[in-house]
Parts: sequence; structure tokens; C-alpha cells
Amino acid sequence: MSSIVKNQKRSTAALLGRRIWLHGALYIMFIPCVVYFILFNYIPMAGIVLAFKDFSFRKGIWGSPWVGFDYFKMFFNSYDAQRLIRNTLIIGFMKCVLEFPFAIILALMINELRNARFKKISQTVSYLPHFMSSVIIITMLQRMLAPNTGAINQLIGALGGDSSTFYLMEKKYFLPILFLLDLWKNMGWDSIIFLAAMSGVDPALYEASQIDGCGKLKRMWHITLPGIRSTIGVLFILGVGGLLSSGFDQIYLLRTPGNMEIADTLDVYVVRTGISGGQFGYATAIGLIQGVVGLILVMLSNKISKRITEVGIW
Amino acid sequence: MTRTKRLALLLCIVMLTSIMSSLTVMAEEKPDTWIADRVVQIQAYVDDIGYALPEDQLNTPVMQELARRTGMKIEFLYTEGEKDRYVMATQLATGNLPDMIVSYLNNSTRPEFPILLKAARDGMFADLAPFIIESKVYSKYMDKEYLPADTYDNIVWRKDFDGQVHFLHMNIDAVDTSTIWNPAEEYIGGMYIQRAIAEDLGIDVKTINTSEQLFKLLQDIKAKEYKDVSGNPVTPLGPKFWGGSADALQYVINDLFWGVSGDYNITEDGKVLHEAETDWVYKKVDWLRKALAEGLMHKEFFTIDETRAGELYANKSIAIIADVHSYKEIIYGSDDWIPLGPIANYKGDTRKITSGKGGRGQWAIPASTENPEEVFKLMDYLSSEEGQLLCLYGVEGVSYDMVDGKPKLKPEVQEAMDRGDSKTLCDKYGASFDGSGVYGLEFILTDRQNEAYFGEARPGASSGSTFERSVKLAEEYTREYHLVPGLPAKAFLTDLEDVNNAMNLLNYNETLVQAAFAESDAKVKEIIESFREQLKHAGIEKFEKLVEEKYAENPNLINFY
Repeated sequence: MSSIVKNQKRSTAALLGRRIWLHGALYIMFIPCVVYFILFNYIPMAGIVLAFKDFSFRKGIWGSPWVGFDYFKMFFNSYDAQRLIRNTLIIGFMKCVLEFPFAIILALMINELRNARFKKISQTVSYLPHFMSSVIIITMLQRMLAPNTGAINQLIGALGGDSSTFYLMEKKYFLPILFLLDLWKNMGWDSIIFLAAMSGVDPALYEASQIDGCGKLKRMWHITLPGIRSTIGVLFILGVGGLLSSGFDQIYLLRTPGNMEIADTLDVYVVRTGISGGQFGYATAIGLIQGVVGLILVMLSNKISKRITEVGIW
Repeated sequence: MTRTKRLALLLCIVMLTSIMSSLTVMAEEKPDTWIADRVVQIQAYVDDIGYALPEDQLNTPVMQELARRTGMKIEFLYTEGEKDRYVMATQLATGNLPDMIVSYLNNSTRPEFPILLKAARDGMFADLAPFIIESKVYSKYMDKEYLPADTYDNIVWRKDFDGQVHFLHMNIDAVDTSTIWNPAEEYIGGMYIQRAIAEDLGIDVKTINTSEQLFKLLQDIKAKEYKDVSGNPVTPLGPKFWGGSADALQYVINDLFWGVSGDYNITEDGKVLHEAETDWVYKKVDWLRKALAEGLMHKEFFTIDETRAGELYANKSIAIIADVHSYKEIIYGSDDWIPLGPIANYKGDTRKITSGKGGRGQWAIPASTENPEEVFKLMDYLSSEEGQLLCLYGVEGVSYDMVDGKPKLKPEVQEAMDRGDSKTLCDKYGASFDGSGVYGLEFILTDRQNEAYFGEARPGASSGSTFERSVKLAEEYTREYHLVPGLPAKAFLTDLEDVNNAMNLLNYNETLVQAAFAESDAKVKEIIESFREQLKHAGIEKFEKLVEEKYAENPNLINFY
């Protein structure tokens, strides 16, 4: 029996060796990715242990004394916990769920363009904001939305309206501003994967539907969307994992005393307590809660998705 | 003895003689101030130091002279970050520290302090106490009368350090002149009004002493419909010159500040309270809401960035600057702006409150630094008269000459200062020149006594024209000082670690602004009540009890009034 297992192992290794030999170039290109993930994603994971330790500058992560679940108790007993979780969930839902269809719609629209040059320009213009720093975007936004002197208010004033609205200081404008800003920044970039998936749909299906008299809208609905269903499913499942993380930079920069009631999220709180307050263990514990909840959400949505649509990531 | 042996002996004697003589020459060349042949790297968590460094730090005339005298040179390291204290917390956590660190630290209530204290308690810094005893300048720190009370008790000689010293407060004046009004040294800070507007309204700027009078003045300005240089309406009250902040309110509505000791004060029946627990918080919010509703205050008073605030003032789009001081070019560069007020405190007193001597920064030597005594000796030397002259004025003959025993800046240096040419001052001369050049070299000094040592309040003060108006303003708008000894109540928060951690996350100023912009009075009440709840949850009652006990023991410990 053991000799059979040994032989199987040997043949698997030989097969892998042959594959590596055959596709050497691809494997070499793969090495930096593996190194990147090990260095920047897996090794830092060991830092999670800080969530259970009273961090000492001198003793470092491993030498600091254990405190068990103290930080978790501290957080859930804190005055802010409920508000922070609620705000984070609202913003997370907005970013992960509400924004999700827009990238698909954009991809469908770009996919239907027939002028190749215009198609390329549209695609480039739509994904360029993704590469712009949030600091620059929000500085521009602050100027545009400034009361009386900002471009938006001046336009409203010129049209006879009240030009003194301070959009960034009013709570009611915070979520719409954040939604539009995030959508503008990420919609084009997110649509790239859907466009790639669309290019994989069999052209014969489109030809057949044309013969059957299908219009553009019907082709999108009956051929394109079902054709990219698995991609949509996988990206949605992965996106759900981010429900409890609202992102830091945009919110931190858009935060003002006026909108803080809804703009204070877990991500901002982690920085406030961790880096500015020096409570590294406490901040790590909150970060860990976000990570664990995210993982549970991904697993749940994967299970539900597999049961309903047969699409899953594993 | 053979001929060869004789030759060898002769050679040996020649060699020995030459070695001995060269050693003697070397020994003779080393001055008494010699410490060690070493470059000391100083990590600065101070943006002003980082922005004013020579291109070649180790080869400026000042560094060459310092090396000749002590064998040592200084190299400042600066890492830019969102806030210097964030960078400090990160570098302390990674343990990546050079020979020495410096940071801002006006007093023990600054946000840097809890981080430094934690690092010190964790054993990150060397014990400086043995070096202090043997030092020339820093030995003064052993005298309780020499140091400010906060510096002595909470920073340098902390009881919980068991006789060890882990950080040293800097920029301590040799003599306490905190209650003497000296125009050559005074910064006239606070509100400034456009002279043309004040004259047009015919007001005496010195008589605006209450927030009520100020409100009336703002209404009068609004009614006059003044226009800025671009023809746009002038807003009566603008933000702080350096960008939006609630800090500026201390000048605008000073008479509504009851929490004079770091947001706390004591009632007549001896109860310590946070201002938010009293009705004073509503008085402040009401004033702000009215001013905002009537368009008397710039809407971005609390949030505008420095660049845009600068544009507002350059365009004269604002009638009153909420906070600026006489050593900013906008004030000393022309006669366009004049001081307004001051607004009296809640007791109706317009005197300037002082707690006595103060400090500005701190330095510490990481425990990982080799031969920390050398670094300490260098710091001690720099704060001596000779060291201060080098740091502040540079090298004799290069940037100044001695006239009647006092340094006098060379005309070309004075000109560079007058035109604000920091690059020339840093690269060509390498001294601080009152912060116009290498700011770090001024920041790391202590036992300051410019008048006694150099005959003037600051380099070039007696001959330069740059700050002439600043001094004139201080002569014209004199103020009296009122000494209230003690520390802000907040300084004792570190005695209760759990309360301190929770309180550090609360921000009273943000609550005030939130309430000022609330959509209704009911919402204002909700915001204030919620903040009061948060204070309770954080353990404020425990803290207030502690402060009451400390104050009862020694009323000079806390600066309530």
C-alpha cells in the first residue's frame, strides 16, 4: 500500500516538474507575486497576535505580556462601539452593494460601443480616476464645494439660489458625496474585469440572436449578463467581505465635525487609537474583528450563492 | 654594537620621537571642549526642523566649527508624515531610532507626551540622571526653582521613574521673565482687524473686550458691505491664519471660556468640573450659532486649509483675522492690520494669564545609543554661552563680528534675514539666526538668556529692520501679565491610565463645532448630552475626584482661577 502511495507521489512530483519545465516562463513571472503575498500579506499576519498583548515598545510584539481578550471586551463595552459598527456597515454596504451594479452597467455600455477608438478613450477616461490620490481628489472637492467661493455654490448663486451651503459640514450630504466620489473613482477600474469576462462570451450566440431578431437590450439581458454570471458572483462574494471595512483615506479626509456622527468608522477609529494614541494592541484587536467578520461574511455569501446560483469561489 | 644595530637604534629613537611629538601636537590641538570624534544623528519629530535643513548638513561653517571644538557634528533626520507624533509612535514601535530624538513638548498635556511616557516606562530611553549631575548647564535642572513646576514634576523628575530621567525639556529661560512685558520679545497674538475698516468705523480697537461687543462690531462690519480686492463681499470674522481650528475661539470668545485649566475649572463650592458639564458650553454654542446664522463668521472657520486661509487674507476678503501674531509677514510687512481687543476672560480680566516659565520641546537618548554620555555632553555644550553663540549666530568672521563684546550680524546675513532667504542662511552660514536659518539648532537649546549673553532679544534684533513693526506693535499694545501658578488639570490624567486612554478619544472642540452647525436647538442639546454621557463613560468622575484631592492638598498645583 505504502509503495503505491509513494509511486503516486513520485509521479505527481514528476508531472509538476514537467509542467514547470514546459511553462518555465510563466512560473518565473509568477514568482514575484508569490514573494509579494508572502512578504506583505502572510508574514504581517503574525502581527495579529498583538490583539492579545499589552504592547511594549521595548519588548516588541513577541516579548510583550498577554492580556487575553481584554481589548475585545473593552471595545464592545465602549460608548462608541455601536455607533462605529453602524456607520461602518452603512458605508460598507454602500460601497460593496450599492456601487456594485454600476461597474457592470458601464462595462455593458462600453462593450456595445462599435467605434474602437472611442471605446478605448472611454475606457481610459473611466478608469484613470482610480490612480489619483484621495488627498488630491478631496482637496479639489473641498475647493469645489466651498461655501460661497466654490464652483458648485457659485453656479447655484448665479442661477439665483443660496450659495452659502457648506456641503462638507452638513451630515445629510456626507453619504451622497462619498457615494458619488467613490463611484467616480472606482467604477471604470472595476468594469475592466467585467469587460474581460464579456470578451469570453461566444460570438456565435450574438449572431444567432441577431438572426432571431434580438435587439441590443435583449442581447445584453439574455446573452451577455448570463455569460458573465459567474464573474459577477465571484466578485460580489469577495466584495461582501468588505462590508465591515469602509476604507480609510477618503473618509478620514472628508470627516468634519459636522458629519462626524456618521463619518466616524472603524477604519478611522483604528488609526485614531492605534497610531495617534499609541494603543497598538487595541487597534489591532478592532482590525482583527473587521477581518474575522469579513471572512465569515465571505463564507456565508459563498454558501448562499452556491445554493441559489451554483456560483461560488470554492 | 655593530653598525647595523646602531642604525636600527637610531631609527627607533627617531620614530619614537616623532610619534611622541605628533601625539603631543594632537593633544595640544584638541581644545578643552573636545568630546569625541562622532556624528550625532538626531531624529526630529518637528516639522519646522525638517523644513529648514542645509543641503550638506555636515559641512556648513557651523558644523565644521563644532567639530573643531568638540569633535562632533550633528545631522538632523526628518521623516514627513501626516502628523509628527504619528511618525514618532511608528518609529518607537519599530525601534528604529538613531542617537537622539527631539519632539515638540510645550508641557505634559501635549498629545506627544503619553506616547513618550509609555516608551520611557518600557525602557526605550537611556537614564540621563547621572549625566545631569556632572553637567554644566543641565545641572541647573536639579534645582526645583529653576524649572517650571510641570517640567520638574511631570517631565524630568517624575516620581514613577525612581530617580531616573528619560527626557529633558528644552528652551527653558534662565531667568523667569514671564510676567514682564518686554516689547523686544513679545508676540502679539490673537485677533487683528483691517486698519482701514477700523478707521472707517471709527472704533478704538482696544475697547472691544467682550464677546458681546465683538458681536456688535461684526454686525456693523456686515452692515457696511465692504468689498475685497476682487470686489467680493468681505466676511467680518475669518479663521485662524494657519487654517481652520477651534483653537482660535480662545481669542474670539475668551469671556465664554470657563474651563480655563485644560477645559476644567473649580466651582465656588470646590467641585471640579469639565466645562461641558456646565452651562458655559451652551453660551459658547449660542454665540457661534448666531454668528454663523447672521453670516458674521466665515463658514469654514474651523475647517479651511492653510493655503486657502492665506488667500482669504491676501485678498482682504476678511475684516478680522481670528488668530495671527506679530511675527507673521502679513502683520509686520505692512500697516494694514492692527491688533483687536483683547477679549477679557470670564471674570472680566483682560490681563494675560501666565503660569510662569515654560518649555517648547524635549529630547531623549534611545537606550540603544552607544556612549550616551557623549551625546549628553554635546547637548550640554550647545546650551553653554559659547555653544548658543555658535548655534544662533554662526561662526565669528563668517556670519557675525564681535563689537564691544557682543555679536553683530554681518550686513549680508542681516539682508538675507530681511528678505527671508532661509536657503542662504542654512547653506552658506548654517546657524539658526532666530529660526530664520537652521531651526533645529535653536530648538535644541536650553537655559536661554539672549539679552544677557548677546545684548539683544534675538540675532539681529538690535540692527535689523525686518521685525521693527512687530516690536512697535508690542510697544503700542502693551498688556499686563497675571501669574496663575500650576498645571492644567489635564496634566494629571496620566495618573489614571484607563481614564486617560478613554478621554484621549474624546474631543471637546469637535463637539462644540458639531453643535454650532447642528440643524436645530434640540439637536444641539442631543450633541451636548451625548458628550456628557461619553465623559461619564470614560470615567470623568474618578478623574475629577482625583483633581479635587490634589487641589485641596496644594492649590498651587493646578492653575484654576
